[in-house]
Amino acid sequence: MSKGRAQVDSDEEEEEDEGEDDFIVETGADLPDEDVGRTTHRYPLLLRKDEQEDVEVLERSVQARYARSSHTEYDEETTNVEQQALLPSVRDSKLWMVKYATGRERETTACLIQKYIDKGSELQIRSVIALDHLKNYIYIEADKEAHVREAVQGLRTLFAAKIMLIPTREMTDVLSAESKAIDLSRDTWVRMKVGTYKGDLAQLVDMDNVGGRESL
Amino acid sequence: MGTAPAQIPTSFGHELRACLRCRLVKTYDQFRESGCDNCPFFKMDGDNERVVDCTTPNFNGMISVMDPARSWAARWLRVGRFVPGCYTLAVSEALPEDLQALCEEVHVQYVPPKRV
Repeated sequence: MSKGRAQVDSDEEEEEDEGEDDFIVETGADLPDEDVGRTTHRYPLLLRKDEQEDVEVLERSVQARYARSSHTEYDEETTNVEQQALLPSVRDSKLWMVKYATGRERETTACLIQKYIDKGSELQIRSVIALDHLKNYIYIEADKEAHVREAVQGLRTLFAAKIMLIPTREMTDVLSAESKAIDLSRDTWVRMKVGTYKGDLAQLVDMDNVGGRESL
Repeated sequence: MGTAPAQIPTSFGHELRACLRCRLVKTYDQFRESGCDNCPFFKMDGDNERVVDCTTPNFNGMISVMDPARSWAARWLRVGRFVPGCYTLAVSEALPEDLQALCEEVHVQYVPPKRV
C-alpha cells in the first residue's frame, strides 16, 4: 500500500488495522496534518468529505478570530483571559480612598475632572471614582498621596486628612460595581445589611430609579 | 491632556445619561447638542429620539477619567482608548438591536452589559 502524503503521522499505522491506504487524500485538498492524523477512519471516504468541510469551517473561524483581534478598530478586550491581563501591577497608579463630608459623590467626581481640565493637567491624578452605594467616599487614582492631597485641596466637600491607600489586590473589587439587575419592585421584602437596623427585615416603600436608592 | 475631553456634566439629576455603547456620561442636553464623543456614528446631535435610544439614565457608579491612556482604572473598565471625560462603571440595559447592527456596520465593538 502506498502512503500518498509523506506528512501523515506515523501514529496512524498503529491505530488502524485495516483500510490504511484509504488515508490517502484523493481530493487533493490541503488538509492540516493534525486533523488527518487524529481521527479514526472506519468509513474513510464518507468521513473525509465531512471533515474537509469541518476543517474549512474551522480554518475560516480561526482566521476570522485572529483577524478580528488584530483589527485596529477593535479597541476593547473582552475575553476573560484578556481581562486577566489588565490586572493592576506595581507600575500602575494606585487607588486612594478619600472620605468627605457631604454627599454628591458624582458632582465631586465631575468637579475634579473639570479642575483638571482648567489647570492644564498640573493635577497628577488619573481618574476619580464614585460608587453609588458608597456614600461620603470617593476613590482617586494617582501615583502618590501628595498628588491626591493637591487635587482635593480647596474643595470644601473633601476632608483632605482622611486618605487611605487601597491594597493592589483589592483594586479590582472597587470597580466591580456592576449593575445588579435585581428588579426591586415596591413592597418587596429585603433584609438590611448595614446600619442600625442590620439584620432586620424591611419592606420597600419607595424607589428612586436613577440612583437606585430605596426608602424603607 | 492629549485629546480634547468630552463635555463634563454640569447637572446631576435625572437628566444625566450614559451612552449604551461607550458608557460616556453627559446630560441629555449635552448629548443632543454635540452627540457622543466616542460614537459619532450614532448621530445623536440634533436628534431627540436617537439620544433616547442610545443613552440611558439607569447606570451604576461614575468615573472621571483625566488621562485614559495612563489610567489603570480606565483600562480595566475598557474605556482606556476613549476621550477623557465622565463614564459609568455599568449600564443596566443593552443597546437596541438595530443600533448594535449599526455598530457592526461601522466596525466598532459593542459589549453588552453583564447581568449578575
